[in-house]
Amino acid sequence: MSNRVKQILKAREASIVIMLAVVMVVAFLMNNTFLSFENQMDVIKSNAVLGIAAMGMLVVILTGGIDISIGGQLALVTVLTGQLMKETGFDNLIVIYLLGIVIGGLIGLLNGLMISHLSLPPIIATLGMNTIINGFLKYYTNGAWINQLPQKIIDFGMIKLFSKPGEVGGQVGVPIQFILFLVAMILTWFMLRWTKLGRSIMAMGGNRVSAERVGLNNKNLTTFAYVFSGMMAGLAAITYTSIMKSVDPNAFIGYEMNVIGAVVLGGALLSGGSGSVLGTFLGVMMFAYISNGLTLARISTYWQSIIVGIIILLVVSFDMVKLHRETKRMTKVDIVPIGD
Amino acid sequence: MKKLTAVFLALMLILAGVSAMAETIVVMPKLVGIPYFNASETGAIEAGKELGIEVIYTGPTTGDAAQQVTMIEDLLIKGIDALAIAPNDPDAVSPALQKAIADNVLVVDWDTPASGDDVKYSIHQIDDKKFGELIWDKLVEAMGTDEGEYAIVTGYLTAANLNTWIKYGTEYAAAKYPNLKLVTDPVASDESAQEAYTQTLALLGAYPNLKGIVGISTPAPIGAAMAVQEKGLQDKVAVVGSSLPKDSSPYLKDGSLDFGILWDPGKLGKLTVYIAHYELNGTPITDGMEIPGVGPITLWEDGKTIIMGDPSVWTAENADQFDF
Repeated sequence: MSNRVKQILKAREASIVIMLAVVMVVAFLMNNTFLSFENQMDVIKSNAVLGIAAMGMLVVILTGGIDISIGGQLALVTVLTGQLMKETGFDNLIVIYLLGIVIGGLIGLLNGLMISHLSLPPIIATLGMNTIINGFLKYYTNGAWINQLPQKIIDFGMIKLFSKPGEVGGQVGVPIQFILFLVAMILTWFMLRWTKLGRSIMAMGGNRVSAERVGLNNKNLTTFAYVFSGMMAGLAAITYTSIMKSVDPNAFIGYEMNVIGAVVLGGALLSGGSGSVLGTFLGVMMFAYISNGLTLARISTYWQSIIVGIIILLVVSFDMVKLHRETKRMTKVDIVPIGD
Repeated sequence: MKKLTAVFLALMLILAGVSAMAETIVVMPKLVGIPYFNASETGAIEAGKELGIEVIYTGPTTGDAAQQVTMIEDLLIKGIDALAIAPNDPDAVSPALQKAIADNVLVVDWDTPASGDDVKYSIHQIDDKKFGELIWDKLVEAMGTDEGEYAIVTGYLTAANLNTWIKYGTEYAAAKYPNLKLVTDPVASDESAQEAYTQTLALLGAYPNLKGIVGISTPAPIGAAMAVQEKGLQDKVAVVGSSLPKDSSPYLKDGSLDFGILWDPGKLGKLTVYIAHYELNGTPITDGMEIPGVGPITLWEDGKTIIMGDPSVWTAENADQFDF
């Protein structure tokens, strides 16, 4: 194998890319509709919420933390902004988006402060937060859906760029939710790759002690990661409302598992310091394609969960074998005789 | 001071006597805080007021069987006369129900059946068979033909009540509408409208000749209708299913959902309290008996199963009349 190929195969994303390619080819062979532009756009639209939330979760996981309250944050933002729009008829979408991002960011700030300054384990702090939010929502909404939202958000959710009438009906085009998902990815990628903040988060996630020694403020970095995650949850929440045209307060119960699952499938290590925007995007698409592709392939739902489980195990074992080999090679370095 | 204590004690005795005399019926839903069970709460409390008895409506905040067990045990210590339960897991609550029976508490189930040996009566909202059949009849009505392909979007593949309706519906369709073709096994939507929407989009892509979709579980028909509406297929693909009228209303009006089929959970709450009250007071419960505000009920030959009545159908015209 040439060095170039080896290098590509060594990339963290390699295993997921290979699995994704397999899934796509199989789905396409079973049903050509899978690769149609219309189907691809449908898949992206209905998974944009997961994708945006996963970007925030990625940054938290990079610090070696975890955010169990992501579902609660999404639900809280959808309910509060939904209620505001319904009760007052307020429909300035830019303000609604900003408001959602601020609410999410504030919850993230609380999470971050509990974790960095009170030294609570992330899983406990965010689990507690999630329980509080869900309890509040239960009390506040009694589980009732919020309907009759302003026409503006409904119209906004239906926007499709470069659209033309579809073959069967409706409009085919690039959904606005895809653009929002792209924005979230570019922002996260830029922050992690090109800002000091992002580089510091990567460094801290890799090794906390060294990071502290070189003078990084771990507490502030940790807090920032949760605020960022909350803001992404806010963005995802309004995007959800734009797709669903109504708010179901119970829609996000258990959602954290999907978000964390997508990030981990995308190659991020829960121990921190390792993971990428590209990998996370692929993880989200993997989740989406498995479900969409298997249905299109006309495979019964009973088999779907079995296949999903096998794919997750394959991807993760591939990663683990690779990691194991790398570690082995690194240990070897120590026993190479001097002067060899 | 002594006098005061005596008066206080006397008062306590009277109060204790009063609370022992008043009849207390506990109605326990699978969970509280969702519109469906809120509506049945209203009905149960209303019945309590009509009968002049105490009705306690309480249940866990998530559909958790272990929490139901803890709550039952606490209520038994408090002292109650009847317990009507919608069990999250019939086997898990069984020991607690047996304990209640040993304490001379009348135990009935409602909404979802418990194990047969644990209850005096089993109160069903509908006849599951009739319900399944009506949904498929409405599917054919909405499709405008009894020929063609259709798919089922369900809540969870493991939910016993949903599976029962699907079983009765498909068996009935196989006999009565032989040209109706189910294209694949029921697709799960995890009781989430967004998941139902996503799955329906995929189904519409996979089966371009699809003429109808049956949504089972309350969010499924809504999610399916959203997908159909987005694809502009309102006139080509019929959507029917078990949805709540309030959530269905916008989709019924834009034509993406054709019929919602369910029952009135408020009436079910009311019926449950009436049955428990009659049984506690020795009023015989008979087939065809008229329950105030509910109507005539059906008592099966087993002397145990009570059916509230026929399911209701929501359409664009009537959906706004209901507050659940």
